[in-house]
Amino acid sequence: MPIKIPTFVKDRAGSLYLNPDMIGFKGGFLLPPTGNQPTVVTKAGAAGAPNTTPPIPYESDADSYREILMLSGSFGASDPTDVQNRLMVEPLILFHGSRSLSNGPIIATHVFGTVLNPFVLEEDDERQSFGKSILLPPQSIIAFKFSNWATAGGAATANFTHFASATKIQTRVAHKRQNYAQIQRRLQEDVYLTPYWMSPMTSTVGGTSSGAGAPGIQLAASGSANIVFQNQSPGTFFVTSLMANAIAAGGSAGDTTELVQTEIYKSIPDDRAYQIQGSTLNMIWGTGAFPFRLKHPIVLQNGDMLRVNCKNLNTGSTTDFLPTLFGVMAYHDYEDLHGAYGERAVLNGPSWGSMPKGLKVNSFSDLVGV
Amino acid sequence: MPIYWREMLLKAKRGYVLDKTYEGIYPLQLGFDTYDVPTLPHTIQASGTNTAPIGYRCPAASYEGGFEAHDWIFEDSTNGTASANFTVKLTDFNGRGLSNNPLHVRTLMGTAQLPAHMREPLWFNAREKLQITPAKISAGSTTWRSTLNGVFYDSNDPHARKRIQRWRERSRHCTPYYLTTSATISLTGNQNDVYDDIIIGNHCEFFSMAAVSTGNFAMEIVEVQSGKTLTNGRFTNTNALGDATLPTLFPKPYFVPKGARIRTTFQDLSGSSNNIYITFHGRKFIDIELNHIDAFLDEYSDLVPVSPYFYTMQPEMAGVI
Repeated sequence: MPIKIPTFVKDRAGSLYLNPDMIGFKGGFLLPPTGNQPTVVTKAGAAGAPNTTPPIPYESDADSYREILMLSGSFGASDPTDVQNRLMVEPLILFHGSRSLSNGPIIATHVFGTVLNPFVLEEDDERQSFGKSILLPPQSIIAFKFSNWATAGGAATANFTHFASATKIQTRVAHKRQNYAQIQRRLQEDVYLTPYWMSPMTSTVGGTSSGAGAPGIQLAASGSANIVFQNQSPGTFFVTSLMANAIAAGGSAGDTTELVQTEIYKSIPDDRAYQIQGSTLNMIWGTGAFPFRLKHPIVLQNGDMLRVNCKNLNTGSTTDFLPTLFGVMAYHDYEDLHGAYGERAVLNGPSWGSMPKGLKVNSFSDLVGV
Repeated sequence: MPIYWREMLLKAKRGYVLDKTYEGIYPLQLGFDTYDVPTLPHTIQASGTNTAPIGYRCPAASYEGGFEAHDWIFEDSTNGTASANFTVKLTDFNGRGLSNNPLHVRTLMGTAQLPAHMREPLWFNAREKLQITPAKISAGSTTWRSTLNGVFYDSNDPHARKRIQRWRERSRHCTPYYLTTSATISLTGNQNDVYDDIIIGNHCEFFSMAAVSTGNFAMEIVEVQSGKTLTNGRFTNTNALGDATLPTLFPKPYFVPKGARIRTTFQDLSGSSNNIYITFHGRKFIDIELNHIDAFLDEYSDLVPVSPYFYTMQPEMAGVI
């Protein structure tokens, strides 16, 4: 659940008044170092070799926690449509050691949403939540690495402006006794629970054309093929939302609105079907602005595989289908993450800012509780 | 109510593990019965020609399973989803109608990005079928697909068995219900004061409203016997009414007792012929006394939560903007 502080509190006489802690608990925005200037990613030099930026950091202040609830982004007015469909991003957490929030490049608009319709990481109503917010301790970083897979066209450059909607919780308020238990619980929980995006294992998009090598599949005109997602992380992935881009090549015919019909199966372990018959693009695949929300999560344990059988309804040309799964990754045990960070790394790990007096951290176990 | 992902986690010594007793519960897109529609898309015959009824049938992973439908989704691959122009008549597995008359599809169903939510989920027992009869309003045939987005329960799962039993009890007395006009509203240019009376057969509760029309119009809503109005004047569709993807939500549920008569009065604003389709979205109560409805909803609030801000027994005016 997102961090909450009571708006009103009672004094000893029972009178209701505005909680003075609210002065240090505000909504707001978190911007990358470039501020309102776009991240510019020029086109790839060759098919299969995307042009990639270094990680673009979002950093919390030294005196406050930031809880990221929504992500928004927009392209430059002259950015080609092909670039808008193929710009990808990898979200990284650079505290708790270093951890990726995806298994590979994800379509940027499936992470950032739009300015009017941001991508919501976690809603305030716990019963309706489809993801998990990201709580940045003081002076901690989440970073995004962009990659432009487009090659076609003379000016296939992406000018992508992005920001996060994040509450700001001053440490002098967060570390008060009445509030810190909630913060501490979240910090412990966030070691094991993160939002997570998954792109397919398959990467047959393009070939020599634009976007070649990006995670996804290129379907021949009227053709069918399978695309697979596999959970290779040491945790359980609860898939709550489905998003996809479908890009038809020139000369399209047939159903050029729906473009793709899909059937989803959990091929490992039991080939369970999640539909009676196939559903088309606009019946089961949403966008970053409007993800398609499942009414119950698809659960992918470590090693489980999801197979999506895709049929191209475009009879005149190829269609590139780039799907994304979103949800929550629940890691099982700290020792499973030893490859990402070991105990020594944590002891030398991120600064928590001004910790309450009396809290002595000797080991990772003290932080997360054993 | 859908199961939240946190409910499926067990706290381990350091971290979380999956509670595998939820394995028999999973999301399902319930499409057309493959006996009725072996190959997609389904064809709706041209206006004036009957299209045979088809259905959504709950699969039978196990004998006592069930499906909890939450969203209506469709696409029209010939005329286009945004221009889909056909009605659907709904009949459930017990022969009960889910609407008083055929509904315009765009006042009932949405898309993946903006699905049409059922405020009262529709429950299917294993192998039960919801029959749907589409009919083109005008012009030639079209092709379409549709699914119900929801949760499937395999009764071998201990969590599922309990919910299946409670849903069976609830669904005997409460189902989703869609109310539309008793006759098709067809106005000529600038025609005014065309009214239609809808007689309510069971106690009903409505949460939202949607409309589709070929031109702009104004309308008002009055309960004939009591004289209660939902507005202080006529409102226009451009100000007040969306389709099923973004319906007009009532700030409080609009409760209508059995035997009431709702009069809707229409005025054309387009200056030319105008066909108007309106739908109220809600639920009806079957074989429940008026003063037992609150207790019934509280009893099964684990399946469909009762908001503390909604008062089901207050048939007062709901604000319509």
